[in-house]
Amino acid sequence: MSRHSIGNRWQALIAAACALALALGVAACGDSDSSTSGSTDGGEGSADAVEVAMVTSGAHTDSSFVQSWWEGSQQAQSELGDAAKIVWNDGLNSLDALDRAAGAALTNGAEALIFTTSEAPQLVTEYAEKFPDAWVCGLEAPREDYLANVCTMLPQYWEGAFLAGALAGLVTETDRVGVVSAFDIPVQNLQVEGFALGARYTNPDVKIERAITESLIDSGKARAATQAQLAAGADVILSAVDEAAQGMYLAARDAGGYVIPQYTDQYESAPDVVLTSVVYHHDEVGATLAKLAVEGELEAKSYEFDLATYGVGELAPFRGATGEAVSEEARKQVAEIQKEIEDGTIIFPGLEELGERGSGESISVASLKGGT
Amino acid sequence: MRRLASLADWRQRLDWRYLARLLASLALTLLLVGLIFDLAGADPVAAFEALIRGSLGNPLGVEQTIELGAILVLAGLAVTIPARASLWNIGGEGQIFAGALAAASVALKVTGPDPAIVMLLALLAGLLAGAAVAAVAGALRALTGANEVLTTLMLNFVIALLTFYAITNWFPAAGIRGSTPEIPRDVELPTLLGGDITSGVLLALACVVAAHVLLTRTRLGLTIRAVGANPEAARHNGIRLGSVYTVSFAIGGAFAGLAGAIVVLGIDGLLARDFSPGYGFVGIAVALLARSRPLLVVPAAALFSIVTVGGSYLESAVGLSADVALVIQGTLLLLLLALWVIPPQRAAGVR
Amino acid sequence: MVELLLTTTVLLTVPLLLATLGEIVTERAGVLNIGIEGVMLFGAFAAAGVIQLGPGRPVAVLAAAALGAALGVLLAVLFVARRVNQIVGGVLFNLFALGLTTVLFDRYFDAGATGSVFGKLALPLLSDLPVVGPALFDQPLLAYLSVVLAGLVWWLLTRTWFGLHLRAAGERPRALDSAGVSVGGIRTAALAVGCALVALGGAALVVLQSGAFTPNITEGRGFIALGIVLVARWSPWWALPAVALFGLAESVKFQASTFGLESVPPEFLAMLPYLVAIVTVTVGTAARYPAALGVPYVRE
Repeated sequence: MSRHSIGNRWQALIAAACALALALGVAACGDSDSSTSGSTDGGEGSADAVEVAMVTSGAHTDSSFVQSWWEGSQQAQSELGDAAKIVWNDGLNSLDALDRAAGAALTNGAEALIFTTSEAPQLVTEYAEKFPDAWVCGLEAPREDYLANVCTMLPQYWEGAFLAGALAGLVTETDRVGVVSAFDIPVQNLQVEGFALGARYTNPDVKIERAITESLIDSGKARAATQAQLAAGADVILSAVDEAAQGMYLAARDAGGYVIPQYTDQYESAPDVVLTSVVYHHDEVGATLAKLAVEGELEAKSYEFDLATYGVGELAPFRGATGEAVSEEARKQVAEIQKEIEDGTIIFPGLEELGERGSGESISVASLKGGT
Repeated sequence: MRRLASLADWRQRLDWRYLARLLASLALTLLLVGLIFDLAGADPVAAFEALIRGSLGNPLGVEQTIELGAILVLAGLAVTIPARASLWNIGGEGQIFAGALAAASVALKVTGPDPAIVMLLALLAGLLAGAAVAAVAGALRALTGANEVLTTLMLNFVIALLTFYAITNWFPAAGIRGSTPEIPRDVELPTLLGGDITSGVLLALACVVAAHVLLTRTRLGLTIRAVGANPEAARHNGIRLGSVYTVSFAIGGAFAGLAGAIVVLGIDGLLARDFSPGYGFVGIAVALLARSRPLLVVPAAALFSIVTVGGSYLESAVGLSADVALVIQGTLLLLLLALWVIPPQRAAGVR
Repeated sequence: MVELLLTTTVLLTVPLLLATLGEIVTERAGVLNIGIEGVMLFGAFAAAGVIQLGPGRPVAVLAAAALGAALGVLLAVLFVARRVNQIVGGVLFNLFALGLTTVLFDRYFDAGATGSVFGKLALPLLSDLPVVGPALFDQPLLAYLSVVLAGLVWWLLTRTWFGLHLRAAGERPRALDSAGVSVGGIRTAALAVGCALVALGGAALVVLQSGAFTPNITEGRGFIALGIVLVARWSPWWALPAVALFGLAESVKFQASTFGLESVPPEFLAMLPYLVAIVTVTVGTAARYPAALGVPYVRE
């Protein structure tokens, strides 16, 4: 050993002690059954409690997409009590992590595995094949054929986004609306283009600004994108970024404009700029599926949740100052449109078409009501 | 010349002091991690048991451990080769993306030839793509002296973004998610012995042997090591540093590109936006632990793989959130590595 | 539209400027801090964390700077005392930072909480100038302070004893040692000051732009700062235009439609800052490195 190692050794020990202190600090502050941890066990349950695992990426504290699924898992657990053990696992932010968590859940005895994220249909198939005695369900478009233990679910996001667009088209005073999304992928484009279609439905002259931030969580980027859209004249903007909507509120506050967040009712977060929220009731959807799983009544098919069932996609009530911006006339029109969607008067194009960026302008509005 | 090289090499490989320090660090890490498990409310013995059981004690776990290990081996080799020339390949992540994109492109778009041929072409494409990306950084370093740490880091972002664009625009939509359609089964890499583990694992092991042979028995390898040991002396001996830089980067990039190809062709079966949890960066830690020796990359990668896969099982077994446990283990290991295992630097500077 | 472009550019520039200034201080003393990305991330994390706890933004910013200084000392133990390879140690530190901040954020932060950013402070008269006025002179206090800090760093490096020692530590450590000054001590101090500035840059990301922390919020800005230091030739004054160039590249990304760039895919626009960084690093490498940069000092 060199001469220097003796002098350096105590410094190395200090650093190791710092690392130890840091790690102890992290461990001591957290504990394994804290409800803020990334994964929670359900109730203790009896020995024959049916175990249902729900896995997803993202964090359940996002006040948005993931949180509402999480609330569904809590709801299912409390309604089913000892008969079920609902295991929630989030923060799985890569395909790799989802894969392992799915494998771990099924190996540990889960009888049903529900992916509440749209990223991994191939994992659904893979694990359904590996564990034929368990059910595996995913958030995806309807499949052409189903294995006996596979089911899929899809909240019909475009219906709610369409309603929001219709509202925006009526409320805008500049005939310009915007939408900020994170990725150019179909599941996001369904909302973007649905919104665009809705705006054109009530306002043929409307122009739609689109921005892509490459992140569902970076509120700085969402803020910058919203600033740009507001500066370009848009005054009502839909958020298709989950927690990053916080940045959008900041921008709207600065420059004047309204934001419509999605997934949960976020009026309380920013009563001065939130016009309304598009509520998809993931909690109801998730709880329903979990209950079906526990009761052994899942079927190998596509479960579609739309405006007519559970009100998936309805707009939150108008309140306060922002509510005043929505005239009686506008409210009536939106309510009518909602009815038209629910009873099938308005028919939406297929997922493939709607999932294409830009289709919101190319699809003819007349075709929605059966014309050409 | 050859004889001497292998003798010296043996002596280096049996560096007892290094091994002793390594074992001491690992023991210390285990002790600390056990302490943390205890403080977090989990029984340390049960936690360690869950870790081992999750990664090695059940068929699915073994499969995942071996496959992840293979990818980490390649990611480690990607850093190892340039490291022997005293260059730092921090661009493994981007090179893996490039390889994955190239392999997916070939696998999904080339339809003429026999599926087995397409598979081989896809592997080759992945290898070349990774090599090309790395060679850019190497060449920039060779021609302009541009610091390869910075260029490779920046390239990571650029290539990731390019891959996202490609997934949406070069391939038909696959349902509503952000990935390419699935690769036809007969173009995928075959599995071993009819089981579930991809034969990409064998490829990774073959690369380890190839890297070892390259560095110890070929002229190129010895040149690379000479440049790494003393660039000035090497230059005076007529070695063209620029070429060595570019070539060693290209070789490293090829390994990374192959890793990406194997993920697409053998593990995921398609190219997804979020397929990598940072393989390239873990590869740096693997290479570090292996002290840039190809043969040691295998146990190093295995260690990380076991910890990662076993960590996913901690949650359901002892109620310990996997992410906290992993971070603590990983960072403690890294810190201890930095302190105890890496020898204090001698003369090599920035250039 | 130019006005909005300038305004956003300034905001996006401040974090980068602070990080660059910090790295200049560190590198002039001879330490190549690749861990700058991690320090910036910790700074953002600390600022957002303190904001969530209640004390308010100025306290949050100071807390971030203090954390940065502490991290600088920790890095000094690694790089100066233990002489760990600066590049490898830096990369490992970044991994550590990313992992730890992400996990702590997931566990303890209320992700849905409304963000909190500094309000603007219009400078009288100057802010009334056409175009340039609102963009340059109607910005939060921290923005003005960062420019002042550039001047302070210059003054520190060129007009103080400490600065003299610092530059000697980077150019001629042996001479400094024989003059009786502890090279290790100077480098530790440089790391502390430098990392405090870098962490301040991270905090600026939160309190100026996003109002909240998100995992990996820095997204390579620390690494970009490394490139800017090169382009700016280790001079605090040249850092200003260099940083502005990057801020511009970033803000163009969001103004795509106003510049008729809608047809450019968003991913390509997002690549812009990184491509600019590669180009500048390549072109700017003709500059002279501080002679002892990256070389740990060993006493004879």
